[in-house]
Amino acid sequence: MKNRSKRMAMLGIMTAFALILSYVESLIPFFPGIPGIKLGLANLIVVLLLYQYSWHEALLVSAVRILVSGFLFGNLMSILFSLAGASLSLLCMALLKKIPGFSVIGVSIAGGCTHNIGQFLVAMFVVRTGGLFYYLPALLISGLVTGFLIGFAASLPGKYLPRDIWK
Amino acid sequence: MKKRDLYLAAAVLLSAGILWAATGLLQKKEGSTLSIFVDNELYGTYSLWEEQEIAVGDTNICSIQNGEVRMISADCPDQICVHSNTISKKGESIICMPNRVVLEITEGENGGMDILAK
Repeated sequence: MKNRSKRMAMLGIMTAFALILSYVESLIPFFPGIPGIKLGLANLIVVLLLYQYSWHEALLVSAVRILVSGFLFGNLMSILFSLAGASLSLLCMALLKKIPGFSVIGVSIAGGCTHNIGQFLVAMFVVRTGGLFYYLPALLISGLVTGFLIGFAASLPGKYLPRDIWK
Repeated sequence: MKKRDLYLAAAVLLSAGILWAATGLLQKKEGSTLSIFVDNELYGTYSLWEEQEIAVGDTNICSIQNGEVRMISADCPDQICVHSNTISKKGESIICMPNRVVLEITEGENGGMDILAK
């Protein structure tokens, strides 16, 4: 029982953390041309949870964070974009993680790229303009860079925090 | 960072490069017409060579100046469209997602030419 409440409390903290990252990200000017594309700072939490727990916890916190921040700061459209990006991203990360030879960084890079691809697909669906393809290269590079940075950051708690903080 | 991570990063860079080259080769022509779509339906077409300000519905205003298109004002909360770079080449676009307004540079019926002398 102690385990479960501890984990629940931890997930609550992680959700709050993700919300804060989401907010901080909204303060950074980032206009790559396609509306709805974001830096994805909150994915730090997703990657962290994926490695410290499992994809179940990552999915749960991710979904809650997206819905709450959507209701607080965004609109229906932004929720849709975020959900699409996050789902595709989590799916790819969970799968890639199973392949030996990829570290957090590689998985996170894949996550960052697929997150943007997911959002791009929703944008294509909503707006149906061929002109959107113009932005794909920038999206991929952005996903690569942020994925790399987030992967690196996500590897740190595992190294410097006591192991039992998670259980 | 392991070796496979590096391969992945390289693959992403390569894909980005290929896409960039592909879209670049297809679309670097100077555009001649601005097509405005609202909700995926054509709202109107305008010549890029005529300086004008166009109100799109009562939510967005864009302008054509020096052969470039900008979104001057919009009532959307994120204002991403207003902060976008100006567009001028065929295939480029400015999108206001909340209002579903798309400004796209296309080619006119004359294949880019305004006058044909025969």
